[in-house]
Amino acid sequence: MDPKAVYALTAKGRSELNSAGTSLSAAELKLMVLIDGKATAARIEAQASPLTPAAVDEAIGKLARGGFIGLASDVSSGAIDIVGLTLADQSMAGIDSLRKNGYFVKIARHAAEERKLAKDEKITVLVVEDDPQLAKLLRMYFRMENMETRLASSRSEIAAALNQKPAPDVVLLDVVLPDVNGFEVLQRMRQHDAMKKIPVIMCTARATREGVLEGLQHGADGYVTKPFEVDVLLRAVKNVIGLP
Amino acid sequence: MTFQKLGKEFQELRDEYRRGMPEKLERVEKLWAIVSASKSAGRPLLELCRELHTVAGSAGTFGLPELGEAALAAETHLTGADSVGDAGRQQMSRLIEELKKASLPPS
Repeated sequence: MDPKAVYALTAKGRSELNSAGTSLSAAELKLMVLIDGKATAARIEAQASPLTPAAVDEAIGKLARGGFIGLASDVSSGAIDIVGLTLADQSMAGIDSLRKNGYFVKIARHAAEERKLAKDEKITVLVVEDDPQLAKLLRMYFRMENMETRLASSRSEIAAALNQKPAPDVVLLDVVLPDVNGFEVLQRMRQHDAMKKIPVIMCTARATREGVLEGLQHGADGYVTKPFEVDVLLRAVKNVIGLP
Repeated sequence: MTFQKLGKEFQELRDEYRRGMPEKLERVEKLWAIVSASKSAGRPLLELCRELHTVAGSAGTFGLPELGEAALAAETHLTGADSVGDAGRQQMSRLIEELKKASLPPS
């Protein structure tokens, strides 16, 4: 790998970050988020810690062979564009800056194994969300999919919902909450023997490259930025659980 | 649950969301009045950012994308600021007007 090379996401790469169902590894995903069409390979490598230079080299080669990234000079559109937002009135004050700064993705990694439900078995989704109407909306959709929903919006409610039996099959985790940060919850879950394998999808209006990296770094299985379409979120949930 | 029933429930939730918006925006305005009047806004600024963040995250899903965009623009404008200068105050006042406009039902 040429350390001075600058990589950018291809259309296929951008689409992969918005597919709500990716088979890329955690390391590959992290690199996909770091690759912005501006940073050199050497800089990406420096930011990709704890990945070793050899692992970065291998992952970049794999992503390039898979058509997810290419040399920036070869890729017609360089950095990731805003996806999923239609800016109705771009003359609105401040909106223009969002076009440059917003990083909207719908990432969800496929579970390693397919999940087969027993007869009458129901999936339990823990929705950590402090907007009561959004939480209600999600519960409504999950009910339609025959899934149970547990709602929580504060530190104590999250702890109670995580400790309740049966353990949730998946957690949808907001980041900005009244008395706790979602990344902190994720970090604690990943350190906890009984909870470390529960799939977690960060579901947040924090649409920044740093936010996505932080989520992936702490072991999130997905990162869906708000606003989202409920169908996309459902697909993400099914993918991380391993449901068809 | 049938899709028909789901559609009805979604409509009810959307109406509930819209009905609650004036109260939310009133809270935003009150917080902004405190923030803009003080040199170092501290907690009210954090609360204001959180209110805007919530609207930015949910409005689009409830069929109000312009409101969500305006809230995100306002949140982005304030994020990281310990205090807001004169130009920043004017910009924020404009964004609050945009928020109110975007929350109105279509005429």
